[in-house]
Parts: sequence; C-alpha cells; structure tokens
Amino acid sequence: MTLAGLPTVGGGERILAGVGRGTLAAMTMTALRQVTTGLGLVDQTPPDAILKQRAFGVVVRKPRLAFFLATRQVALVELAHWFYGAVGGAAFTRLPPSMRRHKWVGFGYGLATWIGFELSVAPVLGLDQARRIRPIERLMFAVDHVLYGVVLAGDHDWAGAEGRLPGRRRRKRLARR
Amino acid sequence: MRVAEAMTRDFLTTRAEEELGEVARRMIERWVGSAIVEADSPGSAPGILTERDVVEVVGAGDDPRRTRVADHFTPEATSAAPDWPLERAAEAMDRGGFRHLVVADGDPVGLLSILDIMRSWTSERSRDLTVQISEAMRRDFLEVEGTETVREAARRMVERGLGAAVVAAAKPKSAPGLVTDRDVLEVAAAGHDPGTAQVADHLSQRMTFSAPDWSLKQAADAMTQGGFEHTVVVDRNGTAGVISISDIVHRLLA
Repeated sequence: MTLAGLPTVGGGERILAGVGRGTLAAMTMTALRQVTTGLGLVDQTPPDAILKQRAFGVVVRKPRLAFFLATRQVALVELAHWFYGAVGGAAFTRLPPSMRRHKWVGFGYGLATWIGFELSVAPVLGLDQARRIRPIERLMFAVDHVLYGVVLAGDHDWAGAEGRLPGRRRRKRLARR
Repeated sequence: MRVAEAMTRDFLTTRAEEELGEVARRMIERWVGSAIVEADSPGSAPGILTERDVVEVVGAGDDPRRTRVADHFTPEATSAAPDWPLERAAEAMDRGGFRHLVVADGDPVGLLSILDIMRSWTSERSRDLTVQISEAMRRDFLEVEGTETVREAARRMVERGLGAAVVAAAKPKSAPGLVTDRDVLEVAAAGHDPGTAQVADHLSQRMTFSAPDWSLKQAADAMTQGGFEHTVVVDRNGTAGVISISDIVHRLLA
C-alpha cells in the first residue's frame, strides 16, 4: 500500500494523527450510542458512569465547580468521551507496525478496549457496569467499541511506519518539491 | 454496626431554665444540631432540644433571647439503646421525622444524629448508594427570595416541615443559594434580629450542588465529609430539587 518516494510519517505526527482519528472514532461511537440509548438498549454509557458515579465526587465538595459540572455535564461527558477516544487513538499508533496493518486490527483493538473497561476500570472504580449490566447493554458496548476500533484503524495504512501523511499536507509537500 | 459505634459521646447538655439564645450560641460553637436537656428528677428520661425547635421559635416571631429552653424542648425524648443496630435507630428517626436520638443506658451516654448514621453507611452500604439522586430527591422543594427576612423563611420552612429552603439566584443561570435550620440557628445564636436580617446575608456556606443523575454515594460523601445535611440538585434548566441525608436514609430503608 505504500508508494515509493512519498514522505513517511514521523513518530510525533503519527501520534497526532492517532489523536485526531481517535477523536473522530469516538464521535462516531457517540452517534451509535445516541441510537442505542434512545432505543433503551443502554442505560448509562461508560463515560457517563465514570463521571457521574465517581469522578464528580472529587469535586462535588467545591460548590461553584459542582454547579458548573452539574449544569453543563452533557457537554462535559461528551468531551470526556472524545478525550478517551483521542488517548486510545494515540495508544493505537504505539502498536507494532505489523499489527497495525493487520486487516482485523480495528475489530480487535475496539474489542480489546471494551474488555479492558469491563475487566479493569469498571470493577476497580466499583461502577454499576461491573454488577448490574444487562446482557443487551454489554453487547451494545462491545459493538460500539468495535465500531470505534474499525473507524480508528480505517484503511490500516495511515498509522504504519511506511504510511503516508494525510492528504492535504502530502499535497503541499509535494507541491514544494 | 451498633449505635454505640456511631454515636457522639461528647454531647452538649443544657437545663430547662436556660435561655434559648444562649443554648443556640453553644450549639453553634460546638457545631452540633441538638442538646440533651437534663431530666427534672432522677430516674426520668432526659429531653432534647434541636435546631428545629429554635427555627420554630424564630418562625413564630419570638425572641430566642427572651425564651427559655423549657418552653420549646421535647421532654422525655425518644431514645435508643447503645446496643441497637443502626438500622433500628434509623427506622425510629425516619418514622418519627426527626434527625437526632438520645442514646441512653439508664443515663444518657450519647447523641446519635442522622449524619452519624450516614457516615457509617457511606462505606458499609455503598453498593446501595449507586442509584441516582433523582430516585430519592425532593422535587417539591421550598424556594425563598434572598430579600425575604430570616423570620419569614423560618416560618415557611416550619410550615412545610422542611429543614432547608432554596434561595432563588439573583441572576438567571447563576447558582442558587440555600438556607437551612443551621443558618437560622446561627442568626439566633449571634443575636441578630431575624425580623430584619435578610436571607441573602445568611446563606449556607457549607453546601454543594449535584445533578439528578449523579449517584447517591456522591451526595452522601459530600454531605458527610462537609458536615451538612442538604444538597441542591440542579440541571440545565435550573433547580430540580433538594436531597437531604434524611431522604437518603429513607431510600435505604425502603
């Protein structure tokens, strides 16, 4: 999939691209969650659960901050979700190149992030998700995480060591030559 | 857990002939919401004076500095034994609609407040506290204006049987305030005239906010660690309700 003569993506740029793709993938996941929560298949999503059951407890004793969080939490929960997505995108670029190029990498990476949440974050934080989750919710979380992985990995070429820069920048560089 | 493990042993005592304003001052000084009133005669049960009694005096337009404890305390108060399980004491409070119990073993040995119970339950029953605040909060809360007098606010709180009132925000989208039994007690203790003192000048400093879909655990932790009993519940549209320690205990007993 690589083209000889084209500039390759450096480590820093690749991570930045990973952050961007991770954010976009999280946004896509959000869109699916709008549907699954709207249909009543999911009660509380993981970022919701972390913030509302645990993280806000840290700041709830600061009245002004608590008021700010309570009245703007819809946006804050969404931003937190995108942030997790961005971190996941950056982490994806640290996988070995051979793994990143595998055609099932998106599926596997998405599933791995979901399993990571189920087995570590939820029980450690004592979230409801670790105890009272319904099978359909568990399935929906698995599906939306897989969607995240697939969108993040994309054509699984962008993050490869020999991958190309994103289109617009590549065109600019080529034009300067 | 037993009552003896959660109660306060270093309680405040008073006598029936004492002036109410002075007892209010000592309650604020010790930061407690009640005092045991010594029994008239040996062998009879002690009484209890709570901040709610002081709020009733203020709401009725009486001057706490010219009133005696004898006219307002609860004689032969409901008491708990030190070896009662906390659930039994909580049930007694929930049924009676009060927040303090005298703990007696012949003589008074301690005072148990609903906050003491919640302090024990935040860790002991944390699994039951994962439900959302909206499931336990009071939606028919009382709202007063900041320009109202403390006496008027106290009268309305007593009328509704509530321990707190939300104070309307001065500007749209800004945070509302809260006035509680404790704030009225502070006004009485400081010797201010509740008939002229405005609510806006005596808002609770110890309070916080939560959203309806946060967990009861978060509200309970904030209140027990902060030493206050009410949290204002807000959402994008403004004040949605008020959650108190009593509401949480009631939910846990249900």
